[in-house]
Amino acid sequence: MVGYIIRRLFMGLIVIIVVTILVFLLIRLLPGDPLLVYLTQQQYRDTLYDPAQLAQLQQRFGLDKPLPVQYISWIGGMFRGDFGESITYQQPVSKLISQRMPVTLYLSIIGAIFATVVGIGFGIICALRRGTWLDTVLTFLANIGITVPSFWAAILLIYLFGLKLHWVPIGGYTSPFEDFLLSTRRIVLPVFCMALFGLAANTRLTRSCMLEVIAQDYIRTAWAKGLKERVIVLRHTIKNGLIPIVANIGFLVAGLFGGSVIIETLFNINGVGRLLTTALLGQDYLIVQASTLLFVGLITFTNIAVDISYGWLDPRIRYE
Amino acid sequence: MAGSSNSGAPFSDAVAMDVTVKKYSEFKRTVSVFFGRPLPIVGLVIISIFIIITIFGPWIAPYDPLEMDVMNSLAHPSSQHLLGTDEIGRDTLSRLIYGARTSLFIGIMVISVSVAIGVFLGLVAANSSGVPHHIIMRITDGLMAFPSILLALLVAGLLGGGLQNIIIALTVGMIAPVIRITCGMALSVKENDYVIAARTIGASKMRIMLSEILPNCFAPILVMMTMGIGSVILAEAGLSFLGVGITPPTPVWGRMVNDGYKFLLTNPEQSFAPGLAVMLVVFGFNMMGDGLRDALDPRLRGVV
Repeated sequence: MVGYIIRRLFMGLIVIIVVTILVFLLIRLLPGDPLLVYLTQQQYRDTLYDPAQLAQLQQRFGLDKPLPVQYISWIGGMFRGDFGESITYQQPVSKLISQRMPVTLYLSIIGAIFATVVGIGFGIICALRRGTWLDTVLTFLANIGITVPSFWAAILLIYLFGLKLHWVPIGGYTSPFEDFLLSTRRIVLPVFCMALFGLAANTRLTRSCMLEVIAQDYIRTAWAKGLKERVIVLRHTIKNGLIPIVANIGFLVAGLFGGSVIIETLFNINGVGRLLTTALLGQDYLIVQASTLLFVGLITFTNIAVDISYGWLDPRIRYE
Repeated sequence: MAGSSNSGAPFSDAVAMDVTVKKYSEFKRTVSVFFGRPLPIVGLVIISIFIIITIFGPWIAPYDPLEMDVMNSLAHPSSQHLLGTDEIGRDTLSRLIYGARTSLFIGIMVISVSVAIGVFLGLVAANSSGVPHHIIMRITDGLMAFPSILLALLVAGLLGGGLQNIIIALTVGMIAPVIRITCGMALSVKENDYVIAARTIGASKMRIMLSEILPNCFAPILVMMTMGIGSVILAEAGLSFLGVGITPPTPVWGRMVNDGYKFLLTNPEQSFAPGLAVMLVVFGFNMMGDGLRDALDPRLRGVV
């Protein structure tokens, strides 16, 4: 097990290095020069930019050095918590992100718990009651759930519960520490929309994995030796059927962060997802770079944790 | 569906040669499994209607999708405008019909390009050991850590809008899973006896890759392509909803949902209709993909 954990950590480290290189190259190599934007947006707004000034700025930000040197100094700055200064907000990027991160994390964690618990529950019900109307309805809803665009689901729900029934306020965010009830009323719709895909995917996955396990010989043996249904379902079926769900948690987290980009924008929630979208549209590249790296880094850490717990749940994996 | 008479069952030819065994057609079995259940048929019907609409769009659409009629803006659904008109009086139904063309075109282009590149890289990774394998697979791992919508959003945002850039952006977002699935499939196919046999008779690496391994990865690739078109259409709608997409005034569904959102209280159909269209089409592709997977090779559940 220790050898397995070390191998996984090493693989994770490589993925993180690859990810930082990808983010770095994505921002540096694609068209759209942040300095030109800086020059045209700042004090030089009225005048045309002057190449000498551009060169001076390039030197100041270290952009005249070769790419590997730039990469190293970017990584070095990151370890010191220095992500540069935002052009539009005139504030350090690290400050902008750390203010908004709790919001996105709060929504994503609630969404992840919701999608996992309800999705697994639905999947188990479907598998145990296979072929009944309940299975048919839930499976159909799950098929809709993996299909429906999250922003469209959000608009339908806003229309129904916000504009017509007036059950929940539309948009905005309140911290749960300030006013728990209002906060909960406000996050119900966005969390549901962010979690919808994961919930539906989990239902489908749990159902098919459970059905696979139910068909195994050891389940028939358990029935044959006269175990109670409760024991067979809880100890033998669910425990083995849920292993693939654990493997899928990384995708769930990725889906939630990806969803936050759209849902936070739609619901006017001041989180990292919305910060990223506005920064991208406003060409504020340092914010884009840092928040992308944050999302992808968190996803990679989740994947490493998942891999390690997977090896613990399913010992066969360790010996591959 | 596509003539996949020997995919998934490498021994069907051998069985057919033996005259004492009843003639068995893998193709017939696949077709009968596919049409044996309702959902894949529903998917097929939805996709057929969608394709007919994209081909015959100009003849079906009642109006020019770009024609403005400011006097008649934000009209409610009526016999003249079945789904009403938008902010500047363009007929929503006509825009919806033309939007189908954009969606399908992008879906097919992105899937073709990403499958072509992804399958190639996946096969190379599976057939090479050492440095090339590790380079390809580690970059794939890195790309897989990005939520695909975020990756597409970044590339589209940095390249700027426009059809070509959106196709590039969505391709970048789609390619990693294609590489990973192809590589995984190829590695497991490689263990089969017929690959070892081919190697024994001295077939070259290239030949084994193209004529032994690739045909036997056909089923997952076909399933992946079907479902992939749905995911691409969904992702494209997300991008254009955020305003990073095809440049106006070309009608695209995602942007139509966003444009209609402003008038949700008075003209909800402006937002509801294009979103429903996205959902139906993606549903169609997903259900058809599910059906194809179960018909071609049920063992692929959870892989593709």
